[in-house]
This record gives sequence, structure tokens and C-alpha cells, in this order.
Amino acid sequence: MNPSMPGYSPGAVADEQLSGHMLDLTVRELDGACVLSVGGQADLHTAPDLRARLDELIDADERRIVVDLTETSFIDSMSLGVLLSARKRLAAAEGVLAVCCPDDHLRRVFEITSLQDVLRVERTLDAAIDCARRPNRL
Amino acid sequence: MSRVTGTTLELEVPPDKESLSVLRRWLCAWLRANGIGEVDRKDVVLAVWEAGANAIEHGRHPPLSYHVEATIDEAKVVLTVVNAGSWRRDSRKSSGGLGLHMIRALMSDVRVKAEAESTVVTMSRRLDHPPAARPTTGPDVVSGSLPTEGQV
Repeated sequence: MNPSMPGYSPGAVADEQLSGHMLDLTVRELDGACVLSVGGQADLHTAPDLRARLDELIDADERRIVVDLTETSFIDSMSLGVLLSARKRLAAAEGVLAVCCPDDHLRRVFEITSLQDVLRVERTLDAAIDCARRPNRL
Repeated sequence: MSRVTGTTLELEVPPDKESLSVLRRWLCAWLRANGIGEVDRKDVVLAVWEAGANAIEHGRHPPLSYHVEATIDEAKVVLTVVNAGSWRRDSRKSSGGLGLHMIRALMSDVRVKAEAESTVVTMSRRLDHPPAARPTTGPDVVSGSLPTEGQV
């Protein structure tokens, strides 16, 4: 960025690289579903990691996947695209993707993009797991 | 030329992802310093993020730096993102089109002026609640250290 921009320094970018572009991705089995918890900022920096992990899970024959956004602080269109791709792959294999999203602002992002139904966005993890275990509606 | 005052922000942003993250933190800090509430702030930050991402992903190749201007008054925040080249047609597909859709939904009024040499996105957000009293340190708040992640 412009060097004359006050407060902007290479150090600031280095800090960002160290702390800002890592998603904390953890997987666990819970009540018959595969829960992928996403911590951090789901954005164009981290979308490749999210995509790779979801692809791994689908390749490993997981067919009931819940993406848990409880610890996610930001989500952008690229990450939404990743979730849509995973949902499409799963649907083609008769699998289901559901999303747990308690945060009001993130829920609003799903609503304004009309993705809350297609991505099965629920407020609680229990509801999302129930949703993922239900047969695909399509 | 970059200019930061209490109610005006003008930034020239390099067309890379790292700078987009810095822009996000700057904008968030500036909105916070102007007393913009959390809901308005998060919506505006996401809209500018998507506009910046489109400028990087769908503008001229190789990408050129883009220009961001923002002003705040009692009733609204107005932001303008100018980048060289037109957003390409394929930006209507996949995340590019989704990003523009999000911008339109997040902001009160959005105008996209696409010309051969530049794309100008002007977006405004009416404030449901007038900004809280601005800290007397005004501009200095913004020129201090960058805010840490998680404050968006």
C-alpha cells in the first residue's frame, strides 16, 4: 500500500501473514455426521485451505458434513463459493452439507445471498447435524 | 496520495490480497473511530472487501492499484472504489457475481459505472443510528497502529 499511508509498514503485513491468514480447521465425528469446525476468517486468503479440506473429506467418503462457523469471524463470496462447490459434489454423491452459524452478521450474509436454504444454515450445531442426517431433499 | 482525516479516507491500494486485508483493518478502524455501530460497520467492511476483491480478480490484467474514497456524515457513509479496466464479463459468474450481489444487498444504494478504461463503484449506506460522538482524537485514532484481527 502507499508508503505515505500512516501506520502502514512491512511489519504490519508480516504480522498479518503470521496471524491473519490461517484457518483453524478441525474435524470430528459427532452423532453420525462429520463436523468441520472453521476458526478465523474465511476469505479469499483461506478459501483454498477450506476447499482442500472439504475435498479431502468428500474423497474419504464422508457424506454427512456439517461446516461449523461458530468460531468464524468473517466470510466472503469466495468462501461461500467453496461451500457451494462442496455441496454440489456431495449432492452428486447423495450426500448432504449443512452449516452451523450462530452469528447474526454471518447469518445475514447467507440470507442476502439466498443461500440459507440451499446450504442448510442452522443456528445450532445440533440442528445442523439433524439437517445433515436428513435425506437430501433434491 | 493517501489522505486520512476524521471524516474522509482516501487510499491508493495495491492490487494484492495482502493489501486488501490491510484495507479491511484500516476501514474498520476508521469506521469505529467515527462511532459507526457494529452492524453498519460489518456490512460496510464486507461490501468494500467484495469491491476490492473484484477489482483484483476481475479488473485489468496485470492488475493495477485501485483507489478507495470514503466519507461519513450524520446520515450516511459513502464509499467509492475506482479501478482501471472493466470488470470482465466472467465476473458475473461464480464469486464475482456473488460479490456484486452482496454489495448491492449490504448497501443502501449502489451504482456501477463501467467504462472502457475504468470501473467506478459508488455505494452508500444510510445509518440507522447517527454515529456516536467522535473521539476528540479524531484523525489520530486512524493514524495509530493497525487494529488487531478480530476487531472487524
